[in-house]
Amino acid sequence: MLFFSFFKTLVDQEVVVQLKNDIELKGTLQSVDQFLNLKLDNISCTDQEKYPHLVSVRNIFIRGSTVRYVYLNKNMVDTNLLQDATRREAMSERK
Amino acid sequence: MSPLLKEYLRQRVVIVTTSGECFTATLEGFDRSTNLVLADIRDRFASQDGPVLSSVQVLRGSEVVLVGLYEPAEGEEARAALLGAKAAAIHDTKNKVDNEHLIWKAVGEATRHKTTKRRKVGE
Repeated sequence: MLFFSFFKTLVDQEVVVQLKNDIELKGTLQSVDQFLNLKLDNISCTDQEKYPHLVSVRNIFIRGSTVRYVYLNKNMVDTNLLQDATRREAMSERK
Repeated sequence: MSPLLKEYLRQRVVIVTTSGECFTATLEGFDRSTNLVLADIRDRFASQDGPVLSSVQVLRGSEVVLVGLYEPAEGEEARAALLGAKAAAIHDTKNKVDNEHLIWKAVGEATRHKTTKRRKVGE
């Protein structure tokens, strides 16, 4: 559940999501669920010319299983905190 | 369970599937694994009073890539057909490599070559 919590800390930030079908979408992360399904608001496609399918769509739900990458800004992640949390989760699983 | 799709219920949505199909439909229901019940399915770039591809259909969650709320601004719907003509086909999500068997054949030949060499050294 670590990454669920991690993504919850990213809510309201702007992210770029690359899907497994090579489409890249930029938008504000609105919500996440336990499957890492994402909801983005105010989306724009980085290649609007090629993929105009999402013109007149501003709010989307992305199925977590079809996400390849979520690009973040460096200042959005506290790596030390994330490492600590990773260790803590690994410890709690061992018990 | 997953409440994320609740806001889209009974509204027009754009759906992209894992095979790269794209269409609009009315979202009538969903469950926690994103299985969807859709009504009045139409082609993405066809007019909204155009031909119905399917009146009611269940789409299995594993086939769903994204669901977007369809909110055409004024005049945007009229432009849809024009955009559609220029639109590239969406890829599928299978990440398939063309002629993959040829790559593996080459890998196989390369490793076979190595092992024969090694055996010779051993003798």
